[in-house]
Amino acid sequence: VSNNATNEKQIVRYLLGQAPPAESERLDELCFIDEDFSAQLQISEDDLIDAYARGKLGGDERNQFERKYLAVPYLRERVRFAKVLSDLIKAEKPKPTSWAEKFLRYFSWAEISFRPLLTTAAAAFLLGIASLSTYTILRDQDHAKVAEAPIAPTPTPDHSPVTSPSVNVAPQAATPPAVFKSNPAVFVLSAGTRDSATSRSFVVPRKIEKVIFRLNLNEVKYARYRVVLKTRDEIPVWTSGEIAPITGKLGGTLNVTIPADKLAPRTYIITLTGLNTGPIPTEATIDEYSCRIIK
Amino acid sequence: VLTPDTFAKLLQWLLEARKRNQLSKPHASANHSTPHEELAGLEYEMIREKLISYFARRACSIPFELADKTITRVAGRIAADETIMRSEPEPARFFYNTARFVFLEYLRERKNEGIVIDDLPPSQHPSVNPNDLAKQEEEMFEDERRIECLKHCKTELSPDNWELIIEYYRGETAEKIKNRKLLAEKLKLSPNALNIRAHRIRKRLEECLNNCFNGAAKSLA
Repeated sequence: VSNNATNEKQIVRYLLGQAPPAESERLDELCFIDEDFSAQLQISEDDLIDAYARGKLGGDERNQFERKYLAVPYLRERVRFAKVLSDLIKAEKPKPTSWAEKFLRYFSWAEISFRPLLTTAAAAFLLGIASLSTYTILRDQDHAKVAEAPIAPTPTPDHSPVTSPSVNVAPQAATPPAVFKSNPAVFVLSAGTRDSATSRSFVVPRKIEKVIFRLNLNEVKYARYRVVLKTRDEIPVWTSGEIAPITGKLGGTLNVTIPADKLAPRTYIITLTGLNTGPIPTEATIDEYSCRIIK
Repeated sequence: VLTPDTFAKLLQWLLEARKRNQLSKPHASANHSTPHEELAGLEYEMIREKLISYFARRACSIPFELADKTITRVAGRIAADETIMRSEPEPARFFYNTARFVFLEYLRERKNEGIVIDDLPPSQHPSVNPNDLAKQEEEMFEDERRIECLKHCKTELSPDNWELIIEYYRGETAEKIKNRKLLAEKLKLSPNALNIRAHRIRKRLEECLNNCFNGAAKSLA
């Protein structure tokens, strides 16, 4: 293990351009002539790029990495890929642990002689687990409703106009920071709130990584929408991909997820464009929302 | 200039070396039933990739061009003197030695040129580029497109492979190490074999994303 660790350190030093020239040349050559080393190097490089993309490199390593990897377009592209991959992996929900699978695997030694008995036992066990899960889910949903309430304000119905600026402050002291880090802040915006008199203010806690703007739509006319976040001077700051709406009784909703670090403390205009993907693709600006971000 | 004849000779040399290598390493990755042309092609791709990485790590701004220049030069030398194919049993080493010269030439040529601002790391930029804001916005838009492309590429992987990537890269430091250990046990692979498999899948994703993104960029242009 210690040998591997030494090799790993040596490889990282080489990748960051910190190895002495003679060692660097030797490893350069090894990359070509030694398949095992070449594979090991590629894996270490993947991990190094990932660490940077996730913000896990600090101090000298980070500076050295930037000097090496951000200076070459080809390597810069690899860093951008790592960032996108890391975001997508973070967005994936962890696969739930299957207790039934563990249970059956544990008893697999008796699979032939006791199969009928095991099947019955497994079925009973699963039934018990299912009942317990249902109870837990229902209980958690009730708890979640209470817990989410301060972060995700109740959507304002489309027909009820917002009359005055309001501030939505997430309760930082009441909730552990770890919750903020993994949970996005959710802000709800009613249709047609561009007028600064009705602009809402939202506080984005520091440790939040993502902000979801839940845009209420008066009616859903398009299958896809695009959202552009602009400053009050109409300078675009961020553009979404194509987003599908969620249709409800009072119109529709559009969930727009924006990385929190893209939001500075200022007023933003959110422009909503409907996209028609028929034989002749068209798009039309439908609505604008306004809000003020406080950090 | 790389002609079909010189290229064919180069492939033949790579193929012979590959066969020798396979004899000495019977567990080598390529299947024995793989057609010869394909084997030679694989060997060529691998060498080219190593050359690109070599030049990129040496901070060359044009690694692809330098890799191709090295290949052309090696092919030219073989065409001019076929005895090299016998006297140099390890093409990889020959490519490396040629690449070193190509790199030194590149350095000499660069000395006579100015420094390209885009090649400098952000910390060494002499001043703020007036187009920075527009560029940042463009990058944000590009990241959105990259995410869309990656989602598309994800669908081109088998669910098992995507699951492997998710589990392999999930978590930080100690958690990640533990995840990888469990994953290797689950898949009945050695840790090293798991690393290699994950790297190959990642590489496929990266290639797919680059193709998709560049294709999308071209269609938008």
